[in-house]
Amino acid sequence: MKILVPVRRVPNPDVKVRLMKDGSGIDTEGVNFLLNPFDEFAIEQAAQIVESSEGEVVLVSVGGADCEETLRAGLAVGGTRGWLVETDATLDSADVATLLAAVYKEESPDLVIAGKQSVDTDNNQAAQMLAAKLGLPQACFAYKVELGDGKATVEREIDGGLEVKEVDLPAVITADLRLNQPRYAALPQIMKAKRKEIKKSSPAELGVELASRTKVLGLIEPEARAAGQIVGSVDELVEKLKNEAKVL
Amino acid sequence: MSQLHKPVEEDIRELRDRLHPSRVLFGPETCERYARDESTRLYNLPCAVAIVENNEQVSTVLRWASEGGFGVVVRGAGTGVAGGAVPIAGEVVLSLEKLDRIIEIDEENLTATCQPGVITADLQEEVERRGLFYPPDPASADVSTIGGNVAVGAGGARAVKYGVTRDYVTGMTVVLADGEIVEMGGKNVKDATGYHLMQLMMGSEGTLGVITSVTVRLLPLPTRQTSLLVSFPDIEQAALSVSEIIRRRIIPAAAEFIDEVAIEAASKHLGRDLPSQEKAGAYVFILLDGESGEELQLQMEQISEIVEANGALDVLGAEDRGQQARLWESRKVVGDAMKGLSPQIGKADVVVPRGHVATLVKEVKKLALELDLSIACFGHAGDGNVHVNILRRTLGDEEWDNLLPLAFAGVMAIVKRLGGRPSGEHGIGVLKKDELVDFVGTRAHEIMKGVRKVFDPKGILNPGKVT
Repeated sequence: MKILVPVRRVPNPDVKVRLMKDGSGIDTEGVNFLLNPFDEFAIEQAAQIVESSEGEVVLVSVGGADCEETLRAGLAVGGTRGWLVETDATLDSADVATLLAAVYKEESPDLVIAGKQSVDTDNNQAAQMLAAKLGLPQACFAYKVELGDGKATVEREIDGGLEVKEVDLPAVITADLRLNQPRYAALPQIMKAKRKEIKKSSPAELGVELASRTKVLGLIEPEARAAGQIVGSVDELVEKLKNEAKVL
Repeated sequence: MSQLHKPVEEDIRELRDRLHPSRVLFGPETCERYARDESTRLYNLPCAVAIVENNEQVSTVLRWASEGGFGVVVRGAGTGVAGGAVPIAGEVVLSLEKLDRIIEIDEENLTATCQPGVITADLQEEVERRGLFYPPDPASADVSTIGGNVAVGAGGARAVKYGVTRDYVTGMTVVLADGEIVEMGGKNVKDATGYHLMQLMMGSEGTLGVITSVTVRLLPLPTRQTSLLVSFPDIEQAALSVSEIIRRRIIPAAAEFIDEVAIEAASKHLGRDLPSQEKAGAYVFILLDGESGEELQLQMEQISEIVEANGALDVLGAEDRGQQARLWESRKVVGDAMKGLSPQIGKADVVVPRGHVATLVKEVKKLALELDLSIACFGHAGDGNVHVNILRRTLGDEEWDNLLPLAFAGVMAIVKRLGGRPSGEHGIGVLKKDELVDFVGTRAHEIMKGVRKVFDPKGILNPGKVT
């Protein structure tokens, strides 16, 4: 079985988000990047499936040259080979989906497993758009995945319980954080990952002309929360809640 | 020490008048969080808490205390574990939490100047955004403050290669007990101008003066890093491996270890199995940093050979930052995880010459067997600083009260025999005063008391602590 796993390079979510001075975007100067944590669950799931049957896990990333490092990180924990669609353009979810669809057509995998969202923009769109573009069934936020005869049974956590979906393969599945426990890489795996094949293409080589339909007009920081007050008595509290906060 | 008084209501009112009523808290509910630290064993309400925002306000509080002969306990984030920032007899707490501004990052002189209440991790992040590096990283860096780090002489994991807080401070502003403000040091790389009073302030734990600004030197930020997690059947092999790595002239940025009790605690805390958990008696965590990927890869391969020759079960690695964080997770949570195993913990923060770590842990484990106590060892294998946690678990009051002093004394005897010190990075506070005298000797202790008297003739600063 061949499984395609899109992976994304994201700014370290532990670093405080700071805006560019002109509000045109997020300031990533001096911020380190890492493999999107949700993608680790997707890679792990794909690796487990391939280990129990046969096949390969193809990791694909869209972005700048630095994404090669991110792909290598994924290749150390279960990826068989990588594909980098190299572009420095600012991409929206639809662009990413278009590029992934082009790679899908070249690879013809049996299954796509993606992280449920990338933790930078948190859009949670690309995988669903990919399924739509390819006319494939989708099962998102997987908690458990079981493969059967040309089908996948996917349990997903919803408010109040679990929902079970059955989709025909090929399909697009997105991984939630309780899907599995991503493995650690043994040292030889890291060394091996450095020699694994990574194919590089430009969007043009895939026949895709990027025409972003989303434009960020500006970003502003949320207003700082006002400081609390210490009141002297219950009467004063009630008075303030009534007249100042106007909640009573 | 001259006679101290406990401030009465009128005195507190006077302080409120001089400072501003909103700056002095005195209700038990609001003072509650200033009554303890992370030692898990101390609790004492202050009579009031003064929250200051500039040097003058610090002076005002100290002048008020000097005039009336009131004790003052200086406090940052309160994450200490030796009781240094906890009152002992209802003193006033002087909280520096609102002095939390980074004043300047000087990219020409490679220094940063900040107020004492700045969270250490915030300073690190701020300088790293500029490609600079403040290496000291106490385990509490996400919550502890620079002022507290300096006052206690804090260390951290990166001490193996980069040293401790003490090695990075080049200047500070100090408000003395009588309210006078004094500058010490500056931004100079070299300074041979008489006695370094600043060095005395480091580790003084609020007994010599109040630090109101700190200047630290910065390094260029290493651009690459790699982490390893190595599991071993037992802690002694783990410690020996780290010694061997250093003997082979590989100096990791950090070389940490946790024992089987700590592994159990971390696994319980994280709610999952850890690598080779059923067979592992210890984990070693190694952080390598540098400029070239090839260099790190070579070091990684050398370390792999060394640990395998020393009986390693597994050698796991990560280069991606997220995967590295995952690898370090069990080490990072160990402090908190211990509380899950045992609500009360006797914490020793001993340090021995780094070549003796294996002997230290071996003998501590023997002691644990003899006393039939659960004792966890974890910490900084690479620099000889081992956190020995004596766990109460389910012991009854009487048993615990009998065994804890025995265990402490046993650990300290081992440390002394190995040429070590009773505290590597936590300080003396109120909990380790006996060990201080025992380890430095009567004469040096007298000198320390004399120094204290010169700085604070009335003895108002952190009474009952350190000396």
